[in-house]
Amino acid sequence: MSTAIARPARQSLVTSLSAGALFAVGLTLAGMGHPSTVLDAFRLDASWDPRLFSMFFGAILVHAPFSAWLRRRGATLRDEPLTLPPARRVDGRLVIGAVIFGVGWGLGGLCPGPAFLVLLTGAPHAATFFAGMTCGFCLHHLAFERTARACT
Amino acid sequence: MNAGTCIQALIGGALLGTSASVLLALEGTAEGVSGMAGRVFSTSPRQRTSRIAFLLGLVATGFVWRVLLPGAFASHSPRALGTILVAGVLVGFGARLANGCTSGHGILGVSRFSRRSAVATIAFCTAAIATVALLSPGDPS
Repeated sequence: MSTAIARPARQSLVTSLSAGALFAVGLTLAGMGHPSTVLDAFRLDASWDPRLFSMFFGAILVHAPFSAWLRRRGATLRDEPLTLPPARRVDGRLVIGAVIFGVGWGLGGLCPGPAFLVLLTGAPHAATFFAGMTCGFCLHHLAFERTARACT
Repeated sequence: MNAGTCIQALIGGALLGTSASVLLALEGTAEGVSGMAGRVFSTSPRQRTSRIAFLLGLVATGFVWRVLLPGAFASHSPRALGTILVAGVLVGFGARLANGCTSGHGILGVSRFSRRSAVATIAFCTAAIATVALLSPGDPS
């Protein structure tokens, strides 16, 4: 895509930086700065905290119609191609990965978004979780991606 | 849990949806946080710039918010640090194996009505509920 490469990198940088900041504000408003918000959402008793699911609902409510409209349009607002994940079938890797992920999520109360959000807050759990998560990424890379062109 | 904090979470979610919409509308990408972080050094320079900038915006905003309004962030976790380290490894590895995490499957994929993302979201929520139930029965954190 010569048009994609020619577009000033600065534009891409400002867009993505703003989107990251907006994402951080959204997570924080939903209580994701506290791992207990997540743990209490998965504890289905009198202490149940609905905020995690409330957050999901709000996100999908905004993104689903917008995404549908943009995919119908078939290009970005800068008239560049959309790069969406290819439609693939449900396989064992997906389900096993999701279950492993879910166990970790239930153990720590953190997932990748909040892990980045709290990284520099100085809390011991933030740095510890981040170190573990980075190891997890690397393990996957060593196990499955070394033959791919991923490390170029 | 009162209605006010629930509405605040709903608004927070709407901002996540807006952030995802901005990236799709201007960058043409639909990647969750684990997709960006796990592949931060791969593919084209433009995608690399976009991924690093997004993660930088996320980390920096968290840091600034923590300085201004410390109450929004926990200084201690209800879980032991050893457990948290293991949790991190599982989350990192599992997210890459499943090709997505809470944001990639739970928000972006479900918003596109992707069957894979719906299956992944149900699987990781069920696993998380089971883990919480096994680890701390009746012990509110």
